[in-house]
Amino acid sequence: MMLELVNLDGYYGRSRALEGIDLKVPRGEITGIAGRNGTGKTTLLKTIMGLTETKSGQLLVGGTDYARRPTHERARAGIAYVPQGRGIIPEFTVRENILMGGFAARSGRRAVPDIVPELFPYLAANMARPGGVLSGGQQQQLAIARALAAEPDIVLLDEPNEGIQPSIVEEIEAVILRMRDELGLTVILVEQNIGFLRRAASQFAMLEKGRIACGGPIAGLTDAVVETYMTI
Amino acid sequence: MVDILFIGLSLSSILLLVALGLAVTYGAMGIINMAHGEMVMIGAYTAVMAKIWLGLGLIASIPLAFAVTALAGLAIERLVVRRLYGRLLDTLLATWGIAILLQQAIRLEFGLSFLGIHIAGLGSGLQNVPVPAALQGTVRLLGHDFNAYRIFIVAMTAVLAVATWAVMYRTALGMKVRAIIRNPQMAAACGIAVARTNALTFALGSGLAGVAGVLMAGFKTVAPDMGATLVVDGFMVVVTGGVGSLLGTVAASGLLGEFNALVAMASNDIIGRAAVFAVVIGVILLKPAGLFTFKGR
Repeated sequence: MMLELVNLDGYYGRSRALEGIDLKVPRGEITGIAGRNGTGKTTLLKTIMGLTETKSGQLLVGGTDYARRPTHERARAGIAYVPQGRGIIPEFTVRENILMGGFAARSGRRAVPDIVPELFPYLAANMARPGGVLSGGQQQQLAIARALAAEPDIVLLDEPNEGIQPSIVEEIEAVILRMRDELGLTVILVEQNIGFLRRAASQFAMLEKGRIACGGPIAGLTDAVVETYMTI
Repeated sequence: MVDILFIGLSLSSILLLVALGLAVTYGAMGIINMAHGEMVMIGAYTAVMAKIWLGLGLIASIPLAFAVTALAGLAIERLVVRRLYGRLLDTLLATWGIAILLQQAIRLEFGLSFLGIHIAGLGSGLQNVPVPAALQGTVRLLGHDFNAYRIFIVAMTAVLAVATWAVMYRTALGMKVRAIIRNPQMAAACGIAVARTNALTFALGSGLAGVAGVLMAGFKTVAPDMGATLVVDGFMVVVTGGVGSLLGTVAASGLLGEFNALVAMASNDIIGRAAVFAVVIGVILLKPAGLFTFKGR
């Protein structure tokens, strides 16, 4: 098991946004997180990253509990984060944005990963442009490239296809599959597109009111489950 | 005319000396550090004490003052400022308190000769640091006489400005600092130790103030309250130039220093200073974000 959450909770200040989360994330596979808006999907990723407060529970990365460790230590333990809104620094060039991810690299190497030009030719051709002038889809690619620069084991992806032109959605989906198949990465994917989840993920967790309502092997993500937990 | 412009340049460099450290702590970290002037003062006293205790000259005490004030800044950040990030007015009040504390501490230690307390070589708390022989007198350049120490200050300020720029834009530390100011959560998620980086940056800004203090000790009376007016000048420069823009800070100090010299020459020093305040008010009214501001969306 790559990453294991045991009875984990997550707070924003005094209000509890996540409760009693138990989740086993298998190595080298994609674990899908689904649910309606406001059920805690983003909070779950933030809690894994240490960007909320955790009062009880465990977050086991390779057997070590990180639930009370600061965010940068989690990053250096091999967890990379591609947030909603992408978190690109507008004044930084494309290259600087990618290199920023390298602060978490355990090899100490801060460099543009070799695979980036192949995955994202646009980025490779525009290394000196400021990140702020890129389109949404290009920024998404940049955020993924930045995550790869951290040489991670686990990548947290928060709705990577939200608000992106359809032509790039397919590219991003292909990149996510390649991250798993070619780079051997463990991926936790928050995604609204059930079709893509069924194709890509091996496990899923359905969130409802800050708890996991149901989960397990992806075969369990049936139309009935989707109907119950995702139809508004 | 060249003489006036040179005096303006010298005033500019003094403004910039104080503002450089603030450009780092206020501009890059967003902390209003009212104790910045006291870091200048401690730097100046470090030069005084290094002369008395260690026999060090002004130039040799520059690295010493950097170390002393950087450590003082580190202590202030670890003990107080660390708990107040994101609370602008609270940092202002807390660091103002620290400023008063430091002033009084120096006054108690060095300034009470009239109560019978006397430390060898120290009198009223007002001190001077002798300028090295090589920097005394004037230098004749292109048919004009220039004060050698002023030339030295202008050159040192240029070196420090370039060094600060290089740290902020050409090193990993600078990249961390700039990432933190724009998006602290994402910076942490990229493996940047935010608390540690902030402490280092604050120490760097304070160390720059200490160096400014040593250089000022060469032409200004060293006194416990010398920092109070300097910090106001420093903030004036940073705000006029545009918070977060090192280039803006350099440009604003140049503008204000030269303007001060020109007006002072045409009338007198008091009017010159008033005119500088008028320019600052004008800039803030017309361009609230300062002359140079963040670009991009």
